[in-house]
Amino acid sequence: MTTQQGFLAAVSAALGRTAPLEAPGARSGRSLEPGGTAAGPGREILARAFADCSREIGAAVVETTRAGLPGALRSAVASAGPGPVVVANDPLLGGLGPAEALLAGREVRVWGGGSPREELVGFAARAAAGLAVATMALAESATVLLLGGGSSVSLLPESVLFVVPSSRIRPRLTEGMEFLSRLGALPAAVHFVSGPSATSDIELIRVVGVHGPVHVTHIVVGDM
Amino acid sequence: MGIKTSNLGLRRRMRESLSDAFMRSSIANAQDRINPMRADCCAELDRYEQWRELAAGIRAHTLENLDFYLGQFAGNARRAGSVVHFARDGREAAAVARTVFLQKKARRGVKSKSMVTEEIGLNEALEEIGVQILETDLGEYLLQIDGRDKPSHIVIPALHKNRERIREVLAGQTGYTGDSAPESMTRHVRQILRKAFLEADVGVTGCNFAVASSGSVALLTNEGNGRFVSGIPETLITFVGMERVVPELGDLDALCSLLPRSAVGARSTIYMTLTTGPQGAADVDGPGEHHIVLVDNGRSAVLGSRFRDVLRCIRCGACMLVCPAYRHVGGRGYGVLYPGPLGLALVPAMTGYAESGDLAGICSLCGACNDVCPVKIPLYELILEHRRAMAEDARRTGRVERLAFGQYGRILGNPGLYAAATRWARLANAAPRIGPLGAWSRSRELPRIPGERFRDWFARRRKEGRMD
Amino acid sequence: MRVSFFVTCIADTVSPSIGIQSVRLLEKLGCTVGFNPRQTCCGQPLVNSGYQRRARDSMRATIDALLMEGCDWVVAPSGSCVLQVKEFPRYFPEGDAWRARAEQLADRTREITDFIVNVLGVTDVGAELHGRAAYHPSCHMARLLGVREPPLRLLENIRGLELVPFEGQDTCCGFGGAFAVKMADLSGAMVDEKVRHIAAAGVDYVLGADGACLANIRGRIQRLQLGIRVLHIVEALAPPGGPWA
Repeated sequence: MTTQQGFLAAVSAALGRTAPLEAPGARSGRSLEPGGTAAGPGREILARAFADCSREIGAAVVETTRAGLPGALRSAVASAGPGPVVVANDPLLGGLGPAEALLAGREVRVWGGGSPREELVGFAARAAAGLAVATMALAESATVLLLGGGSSVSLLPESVLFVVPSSRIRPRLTEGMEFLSRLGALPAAVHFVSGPSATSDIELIRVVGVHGPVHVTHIVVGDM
Repeated sequence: MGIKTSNLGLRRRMRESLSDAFMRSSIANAQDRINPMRADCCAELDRYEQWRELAAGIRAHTLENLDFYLGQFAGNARRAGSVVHFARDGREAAAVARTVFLQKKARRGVKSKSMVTEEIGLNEALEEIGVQILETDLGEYLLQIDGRDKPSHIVIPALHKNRERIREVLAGQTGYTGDSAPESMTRHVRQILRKAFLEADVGVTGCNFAVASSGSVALLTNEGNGRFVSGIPETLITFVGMERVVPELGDLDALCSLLPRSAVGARSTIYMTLTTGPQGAADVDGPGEHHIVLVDNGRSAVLGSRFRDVLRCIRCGACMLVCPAYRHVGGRGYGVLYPGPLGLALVPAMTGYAESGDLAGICSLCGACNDVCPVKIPLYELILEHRRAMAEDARRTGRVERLAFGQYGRILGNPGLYAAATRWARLANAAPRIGPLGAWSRSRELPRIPGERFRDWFARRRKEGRMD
Repeated sequence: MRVSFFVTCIADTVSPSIGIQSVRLLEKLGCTVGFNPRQTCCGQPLVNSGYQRRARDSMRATIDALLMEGCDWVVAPSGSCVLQVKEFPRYFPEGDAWRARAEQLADRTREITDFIVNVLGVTDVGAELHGRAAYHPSCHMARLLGVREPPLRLLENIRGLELVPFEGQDTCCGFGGAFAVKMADLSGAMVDEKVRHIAAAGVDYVLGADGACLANIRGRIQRLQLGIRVLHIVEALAPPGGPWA
């Protein structure tokens, strides 16, 4: 008997059987029925709720449009102070043109591009700012959902900027988990990020910026 | 470390706890601040009671089918490229970690807080083979460098430490020269651990939930260290207490909606990461190798016992934050890794009464814990059941006590004996303050037993034909 | 309305005035009160220490005594005792004759404030007590039995009484049965904090509905010589002339 078999046999025995079930027993609900109308809140309401909650949890909010996005990015990156900028490997950002042109005058690197990981991680660790795109955003908790593009981009730099197309904002975690359930195979890492890192471990006093980023900015694009 | 964190007896631990004024005021402060936040945040969640019912149902269903879901999880995790190990006890679990470190010729590990790794004494097991394993949650790190001090709460481990003590330890152990402001000290630790993250060979984490349908492990943190540990080093080891399995991704909705709200009154933790296998070809980020260690270590015994429901626990820590006994005893006074009502219900079922029978007494049966548990564990009933099992099945209560309660039961069961016995209750007024009377009297005046009992007044009144 | 009165062991021997004022109050509200002196104790001190088997004799004695002829209701001045009685059925196997009788008793047993407000439909008994009072909701009654509102309704209508909130009002007073003796110092720490919170509210009275909690709180108040009077609600509802007549 393998270790796995022995392990599972003990569990089965505790449940009063000699072997694991072939299929689980019947179960009740997976989620509460979504309250309210089936269509859910409109885009503008969601965008506003997302922006309000973002400020509540300590993330800065910049509201812009597709046309204004490059300028908003440059401005937000400038606020992060001098230093390199690491950019997620994301088609939305790619669509804005080469990163070096977008952020002229800054040392810029896009995640990936055939470079070895240590080099990329090293660069991100030096970066003043990281730029990533939300695959989805959740209004209730001002959460940004990230799938791929380089996890370190949103982890290592002191400041992180998330581009949040307002069409991607959903009410809450329920929609986030539904989305992931429909994906099929999940990527190696899926991140939910809700604001800058924080702790209250010392005398319950809240300190913002522990291991992860200290500053988070949500750049909400109203017509995207 | 193991589940027991102290070799001192109950009396001694109580004395130490009750005389630790700083700890008591910290815990009281934590309770007074977090409890209203939890209440507000849960009330804000539309249909909170239904969410609780749903979460309780998900957890109960999982436990009833745990063998199936563990098998499903292992299969899917392997399909995603993770190496899945099954560890029946702490020794086997620690051995997996040692083997991985040795195979990788790894010397430096970074770790994100995990109760199950403390159960199995992982840090000690790794240090024995020359590995340096660094805690990275701020609270756990501070405890580690302070002579491996023990945590006092499962979510806020360094609650019992004040800032002066922390400054002293940082100065002594890490050359810190700044002041005792939490922000300054946190920045200092950020720098130290940043370096450690980038140089570590292996990352070790625990797991909040393991999703059977996708083979993913979910980690919820606020500091970001969980992301560093699971994302930067080349090799990742995830320890999973076997009861942490959930059937589907959709189940994380209810559980992750309730966990942060119950724990600290927040709508979400700052970070939640779902790790599914090692770095894929397209990802260019993440560990190249991912090991998952499923740990039993006494959980199957609990599963097969009357205490199964306590395995629903999602480790929010709310029960201890509402517990009036925990308020004065603090985490360390329980002498075990899991304090408060959770510990009282869980630990004796894991270890047996010989090891931890004294826990069941640290409870005034107020029922506050039942009200806040997000997965509706009947903590009150489980604690009572331990007391019953100890008194009646295991016969672990003292002989003198059993005899005394036997006599007491006999008197209560016999109206004549009872009436006769209570007639003499007045003698207690003059009795020496020893035994139970003495114990009560240490902090309270004893009630004065009046000359006439109610029953005497009632009989007298009727005899005298009065109606007053 | 005929009521079988369950005095409870604490009110019988330690605090008889609770029993006396309960009977007077029920009679004033039009009840005929029967009291069977063969009653003993609900057995919770045994059950809560784990000695369920040894408690069964006291449960049987209690069932026998309280199910009085012609009495539709059994009323007790203690939420924890009423809770215990409502739990009686589970200690007897299905089909056992005692189980059916236990269910009969459980169905008709009510805590006294709950009985007065929800069965008799009365919230104002014409009581008068001048001063500031802190109300301590005992854990078993409030959380486990679910009786929270009736005491407050009755207290609100006492002329001259000002009910004052205090910090940690819902927190356990630390009695916990044998806990008060077996974990005496922890229990002492809990009641000490409760009493300090009460004292900080500047009150003349502490009122409650469970004699055990009250004896615990009173014991600490007396040890600290704070001079705050501790009364059961039925004592506060007693007619002018004082509850100690």
